[in-house]
Amino acid sequence: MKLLNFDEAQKLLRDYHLPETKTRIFTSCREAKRFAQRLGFPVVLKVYSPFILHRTERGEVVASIDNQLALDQAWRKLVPFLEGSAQAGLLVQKKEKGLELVAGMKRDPQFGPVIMFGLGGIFIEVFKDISLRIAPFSQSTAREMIKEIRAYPLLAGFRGRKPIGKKKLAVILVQLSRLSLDHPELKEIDFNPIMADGQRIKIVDAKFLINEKS
Amino acid sequence: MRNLKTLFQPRSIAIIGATDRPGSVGLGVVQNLRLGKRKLFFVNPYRVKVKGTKTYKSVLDIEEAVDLAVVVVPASAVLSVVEECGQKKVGSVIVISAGFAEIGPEGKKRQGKLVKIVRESGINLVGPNCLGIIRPGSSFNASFAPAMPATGEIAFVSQSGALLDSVIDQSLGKRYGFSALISYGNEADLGLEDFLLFLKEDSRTKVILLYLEGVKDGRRFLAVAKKVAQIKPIVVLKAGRTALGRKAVSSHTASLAGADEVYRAAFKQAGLVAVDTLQELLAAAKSLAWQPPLRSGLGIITNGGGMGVLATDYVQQENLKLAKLTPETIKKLKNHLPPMVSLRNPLDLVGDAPAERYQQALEAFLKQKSIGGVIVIQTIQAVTEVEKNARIMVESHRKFSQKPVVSVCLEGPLSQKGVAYLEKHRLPNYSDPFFAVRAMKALSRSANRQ
Repeated sequence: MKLLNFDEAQKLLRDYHLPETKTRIFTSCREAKRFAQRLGFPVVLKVYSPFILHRTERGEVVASIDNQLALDQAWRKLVPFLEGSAQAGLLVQKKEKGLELVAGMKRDPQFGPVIMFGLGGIFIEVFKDISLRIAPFSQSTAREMIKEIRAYPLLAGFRGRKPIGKKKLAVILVQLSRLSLDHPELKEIDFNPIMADGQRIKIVDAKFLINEKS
Repeated sequence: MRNLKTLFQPRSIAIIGATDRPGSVGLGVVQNLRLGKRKLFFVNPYRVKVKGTKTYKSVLDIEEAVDLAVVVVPASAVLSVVEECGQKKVGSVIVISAGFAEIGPEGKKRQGKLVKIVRESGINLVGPNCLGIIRPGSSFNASFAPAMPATGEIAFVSQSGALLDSVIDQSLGKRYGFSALISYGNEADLGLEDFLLFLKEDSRTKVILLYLEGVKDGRRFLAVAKKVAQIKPIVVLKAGRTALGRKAVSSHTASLAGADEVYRAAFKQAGLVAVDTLQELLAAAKSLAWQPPLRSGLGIITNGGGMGVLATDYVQQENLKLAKLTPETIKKLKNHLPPMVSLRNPLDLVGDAPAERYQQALEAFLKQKSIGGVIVIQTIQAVTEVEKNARIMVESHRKFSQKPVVSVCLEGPLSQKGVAYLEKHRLPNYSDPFFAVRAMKALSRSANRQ
């Protein structure tokens, strides 16, 4: 399996009105710095290659870059990961804050595209606090999914936190279910994390897995 | 929907492989079908007579029309006898014989040929590799099940035949019964969805129980189950929950959404009630067959604190709501109950509660609009009048028949008669408050039905 390349992934997100945080891919440090300047610090720099399925494990992300100098350093650290792949590059994106959530799709041999929603972060594999539905589904089913996870109180405004925009979140799930049905060539999808800060909900990392041959 | 009349209401039945050899499946089917009043033909080229009746060498030798053929010959002979059924224009065939897709590539090939034969001749095929079909209400038992179960409103559809056998055994002498028991085996032709659609229209069936290990076409199952569950409650027990071979996967979603989790999601989406044990499956069935849906908060009436606390725990665990008593109800209770009874829900009538106290409490509870149903708990104490209480519960429930009432009483020698009376009048009793609460949960799910 490999990932959809960056431009294809961007197009899919745009076509389905899926709100990604502002992200661009670069192979030149100078252009990356210009974009970061426009975006405003802090920014995140990460490796993008259709052949790297899991980042962070090998340190291919620099999470919080506060100024141009730090960006220069981060660039030098990550550039060796590109290893001459034509479709690879370094992504610059705005650093989002808020609650980490995940959504995704896996194509089940029996039921077809299954959509997952859950609490994100590093403990996702431990707590497995997720809900699932089979695509396609309506906005009200998406809301059920959101309310079903154990961490729901965190989304609903726990201890004075800002409540998360559930309607926007539900739209993401519904759109993800449509996209999955429309694109059978996609085997798995991970939106991990989705950062939710009140009404601001942004997909920070979108991974679309396809079969090698397609 | 397929027309299954020749399968469920056959006028004449041929048993291919009929025999009176002791201990054989063929004899089991003969004995079971002989209990009904349908016209039977025994087909067996190696025997002149079975049970004193002359046999036919082939189904083609039978002069009259044959609606249904039950096939119990060895796998290697199945194709040729089913082919003959096609020539004879038999409407439906149940192939009980094993030795098909379940045994590997060779069996798979044989099953493929079988499907081709039945499709070409327009036969409805059940199986292969199944127990058969039973309709207790019309004394129709086309299976090799060990006994004829009682008649009732529960349909049991099972992927496993052996499990159905055990369910039948366990149901004997109980007070619930079945409208249909269907073991569908390998689903070479007719599948789970066909039977669900049949049961949706079946006037004898009120609730459908499902035992599953997996489905053939998940999306079709989801679509059909959703449609059927809108009309009749479906309770499902799925085996194979632990994932043995969860392969290494590349995304979080794939690693978290294991096969069983996906099934659970599908059940939820289709509006099915999923249970974890066989006992729970049967427990829920009783209530769904006999009681109306639970549409608002619960009331609990008990004569012993402990059982009330247990029930309350389970209510919370299941996310059900306990209704708050209104001033009107409290006033009513105050007038009739002794002062040591604290007037709240759950209501503890105290150990010395006679039948009258139960009656006052139950009727006051049922009268309150925001109480959608009541669990009545009896612990057996010296003064507890189980039989009288049972009569009162049945009577009160009659006045409020749109609200479910479920009884909890650990059935023993002292309470047997009372419990029998309750269940005879379709008021389900459970020996454990846990099952009563789970039953109420199932009844609350069915409130979403039209």
